Amino acid sequence: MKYVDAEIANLKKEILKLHEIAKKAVELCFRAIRDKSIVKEISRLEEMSDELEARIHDSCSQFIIRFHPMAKDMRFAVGMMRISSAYERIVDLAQEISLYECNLRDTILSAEKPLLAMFDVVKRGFDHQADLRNEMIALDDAVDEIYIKVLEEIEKDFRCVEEVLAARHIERIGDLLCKIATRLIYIHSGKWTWIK
Amino acid sequence: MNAIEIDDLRVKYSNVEVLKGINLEIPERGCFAIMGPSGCGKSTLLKAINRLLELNPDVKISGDIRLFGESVFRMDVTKVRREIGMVFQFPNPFPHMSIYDNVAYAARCNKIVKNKKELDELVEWALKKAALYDEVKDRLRKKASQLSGGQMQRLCIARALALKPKVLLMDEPTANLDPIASGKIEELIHELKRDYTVVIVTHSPAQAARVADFVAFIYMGKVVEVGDVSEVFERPKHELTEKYVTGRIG
Repeated sequence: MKYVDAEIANLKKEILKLHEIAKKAVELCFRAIRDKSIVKEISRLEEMSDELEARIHDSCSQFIIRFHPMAKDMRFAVGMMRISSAYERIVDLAQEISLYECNLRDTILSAEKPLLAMFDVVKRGFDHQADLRNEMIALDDAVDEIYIKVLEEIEKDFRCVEEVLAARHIERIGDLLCKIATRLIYIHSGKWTWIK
Repeated sequence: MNAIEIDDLRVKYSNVEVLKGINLEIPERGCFAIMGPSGCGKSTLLKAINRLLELNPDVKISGDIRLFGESVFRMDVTKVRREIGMVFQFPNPFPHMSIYDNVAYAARCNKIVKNKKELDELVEWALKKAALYDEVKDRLRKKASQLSGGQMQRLCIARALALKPKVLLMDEPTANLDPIASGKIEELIHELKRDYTVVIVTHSPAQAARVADFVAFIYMGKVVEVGDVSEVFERPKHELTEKYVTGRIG
């Protein structure tokens, strides 16, 4: 079924675009904390992600209507809708972080590295080239540790509410990336494997 | 309880083995779909269940098929056909008979009613059960050949139901119908499966997914996978099933 495979390849291309937008937004939100000129760029990414998410949902609906997919194809179509929503939410969270005026502490900023690494693992997961579960658990644990550490630091040295919110958003981005990985495992194997 | 149990069923046409050791358990009530590509043996399996294959002298059958625990090969063949109704791919009402007589004929032959009143009631009941009564109640004495393809197929279902079967076999019942008529038959299957064991043969995974509770995938005379319909269509265990339901073999 070459035409079905071609549709799947197109959908995958679109979702990978959204993946790159989300990754860029997360990367930039850490820089925006120190340089507010970047906020505009993140807003642009947020608009792009909204449009792309809507387009992916529409393409998936069309795919289901036209091809009545089953098994792996069906898991893919439904999974892409869920995954695109997760990416869109990540961009929203990144945008919120970028808008905070408070000068966030370094511990929060240290989450950038594991989060970006999670994006790379997920991307390889689209092509089954990653041990998604184990790699994601390790990285998400690192993000969670940072989150806990930030809360402990805030308890001793409270600066602003925005720090609590930023820490929460960062932890949430990690969770959303784990959810994407869980979906990818399900699409590929048909088995639910909980990462968190 | 299982309505039908099939043990190591082998069917040979001349020297060609068409069914190669089929084992299946079909639960009572609900719809059980048998799907597979053309020539895989699914229609042969259906015909074996109500012993239609025996009409062909070149056919050799081994193994066993039990209907509610009783081997169909040890049952009187008339009883087998009465308890297992069959609907074919091409609607085949008796064209020279009226709509009424098409339904009444087998009931009369099998003496399952005592008088005209009971027969009238049975015909009305069967036509209602087949979701056809409202469309034909004013022309019951008209010839069946005047009906549309979809109506003819529902008439055949009514004819089968009039014998009060326990099991209804359907061999690609919508293969020659337009989408509207097909939709009505599928809706009817949803109604019938509450009271009967419906076994449907289809080459359409989409149709199997719409109407069935359980599905068996047959390939080259063997059962590849059997299971709950949502499992088989969402998470097939066997690679061949995956390829078939996604249209990558056929």
